[in-house]
Amino acid sequence: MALVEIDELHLTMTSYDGAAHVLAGVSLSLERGEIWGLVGETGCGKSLTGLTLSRLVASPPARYLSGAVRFDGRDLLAADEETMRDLRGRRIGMIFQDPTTNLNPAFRVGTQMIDVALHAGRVDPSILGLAAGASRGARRRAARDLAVSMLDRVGIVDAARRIDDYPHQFSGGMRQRVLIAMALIGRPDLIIADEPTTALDVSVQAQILALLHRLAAEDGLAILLITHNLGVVAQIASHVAVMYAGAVVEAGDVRAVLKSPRHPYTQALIAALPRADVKRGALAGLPGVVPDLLTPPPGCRFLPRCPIGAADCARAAPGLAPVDTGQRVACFRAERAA
Amino acid sequence: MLTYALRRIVLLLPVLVGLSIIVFAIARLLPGDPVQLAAGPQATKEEIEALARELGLDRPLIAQYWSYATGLLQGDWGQSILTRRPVWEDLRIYLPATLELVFAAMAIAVAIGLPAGLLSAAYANRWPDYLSRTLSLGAISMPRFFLGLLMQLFFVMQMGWLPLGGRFPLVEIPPPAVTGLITLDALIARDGGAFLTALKHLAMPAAAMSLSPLATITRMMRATTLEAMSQDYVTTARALGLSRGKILFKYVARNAASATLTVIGLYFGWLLAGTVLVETVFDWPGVGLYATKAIATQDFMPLMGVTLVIGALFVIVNLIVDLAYGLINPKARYA
Ligand SMILES: Nc1ncnc2c1ncn2[C@@H]1O[C@H](COP(=O)(O)OP(=O)(O)OP(=O)(O)O)[C@@H](O)[C@H]1O
Ligand SMILES: [Mg+2]
Repeated sequence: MALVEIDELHLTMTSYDGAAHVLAGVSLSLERGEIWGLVGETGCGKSLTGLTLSRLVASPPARYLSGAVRFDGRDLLAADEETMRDLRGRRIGMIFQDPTTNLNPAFRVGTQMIDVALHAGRVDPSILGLAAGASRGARRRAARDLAVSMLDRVGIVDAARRIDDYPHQFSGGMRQRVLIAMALIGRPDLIIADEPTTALDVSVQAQILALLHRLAAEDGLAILLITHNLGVVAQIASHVAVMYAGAVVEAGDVRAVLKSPRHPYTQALIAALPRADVKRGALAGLPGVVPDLLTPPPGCRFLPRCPIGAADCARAAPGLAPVDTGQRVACFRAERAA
Repeated sequence: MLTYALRRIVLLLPVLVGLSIIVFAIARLLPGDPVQLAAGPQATKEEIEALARELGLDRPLIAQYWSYATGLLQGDWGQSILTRRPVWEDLRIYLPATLELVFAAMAIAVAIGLPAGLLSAAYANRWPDYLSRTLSLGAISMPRFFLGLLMQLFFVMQMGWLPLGGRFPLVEIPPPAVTGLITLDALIARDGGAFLTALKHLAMPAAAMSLSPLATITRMMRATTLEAMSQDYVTTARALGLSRGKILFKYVARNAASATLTVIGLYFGWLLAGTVLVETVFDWPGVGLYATKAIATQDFMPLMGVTLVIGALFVIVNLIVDLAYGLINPKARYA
């Protein structure tokens, strides 16, 4: 059984303009030890997919239409808030884009880390290395020690002293290390990292990626790494999922996908390399723009831009199906694309 | 932090000097001849000149300012022409009364306003929020003296619970003055009875004074809380499992309160300068009443003293607020 299983997830977001069908059949599954890159243009639903795993998408405006999200066999869409809270910070850690805004500027990093450690320790006392009925003081001390050792582990020099510093006393890269330490403190099985290096200097980006890669290997973590950047995926991911307009269009082993992409959208993305950033704009050889999700085209959402599309592609949305090179592709004509 | 505080205190000096110059200049530019007024309509030219000499008002302005400024430093704030008493001594009686009123009003406003704003934001667009917003609007629209009169009608005339006005019954002996704030002095003297008596006198004027800062602090706290709750660090805290209560009361509350602090400081000065109406309604012997009398008789020295003291307090309070802001908001310390 996979650690994470997202199965045909459909979700709408309601705004003044109406309900946008922003996740339209997202399917993804992660095993322990796998690093999945999740790529796609802006607005295609990457962040929502990540937040759904922690059930942090506010509802309303969001509404889950159908599909399933399972974590370690547990149905998350049916879980209550208490259950979710026990997972968050303990079994599922999250890291976000901007390390400057994701740490509370008014509190020492230690205060913030200790609270996460205490929370994780409440769910599972063994995290703090204590028996169930330990005193408050003992728990606080253990939480602090744990926080120091985590800071040490992510490469903060002199962690025992730095833990009492405020966020602004750290550089951007160091802050992201602090946030990584915070996400790891509950010994999670899954880390969701939403563009963790986008806001950092290029020189620091590689260090943070290497750190994530090392930690994943050491702890056997599963990582869902959301990014615009295929280069980042190529660097550290073991698998990749490509999203287009709310659906995963191609997913599988990173080498298979990057070497022999089968979905015409993935092919266009890769053809656009080495300008590896797929954030915005016209892709090489792809006419048109991402469809408006308030009124998406019928059937395959990629059809209006697809170089190989045919009339029947508008009849239904294609599901992911395996192709000869091992990955799974959501395209009726994928074999032709080879 | 310490050097920052020292630097700010040193910067205070030119501000205070400037303030004293402005106060002095304005007092001298006002129309009307105070000497004439003090001497009375029947006074002869010689008598007026003699009085002017006695008060030092016949010398050049610079000299007058110089002796005024050096006098200030030695605790000589001039004489009230009318009462013939040193302004400093008058202030020593009236200023603590006003301070006590303003402190009490601010304490009420902060103690109720911060939690009310926090909860208002936590329950945004649900009934606790509507309740607090309606009350704030009412509080802002209600004139202070009018609320004062209403309270007098109810608590004094109707229920007989509270005294109509004044600070302390004339027939009773107040606790020995240490701070000049009677409630505080009573506590210092461990005199529970006197404390209660003083509190009863203080309750209504303080409540009336607190109305508008209470409303503003509530609204400001609501806005800053909403702002803080939408920050990325709140998402991170939630994503790592912290409870809503912990996030709201431990983290967001501090972020929001530090942003609200500036308003609190501003209001403090505003209240200091705006006690007249409430002091009149409740016959509260503070600088507001003192200044009103001085204005009516063009008594310059007390007016200058009151303006100077309130101005100085205003600046000092703002300094304290800035320093407190530095304590709460670590980034500001290095600015
Ligand atoms: N709170 C919200 N209310 C309404 N629409 C939303 C909300 N959050 C996201 N959306 C919409 O859902 C879609 C997917 O958003 P999401 O943030 O997942 O995109 P993304 O792939 O992460 O984009 P980016 O690369 O820019 O981060 C977008 O069209 C966005 O406009
Ligand atoms: Mg995103």
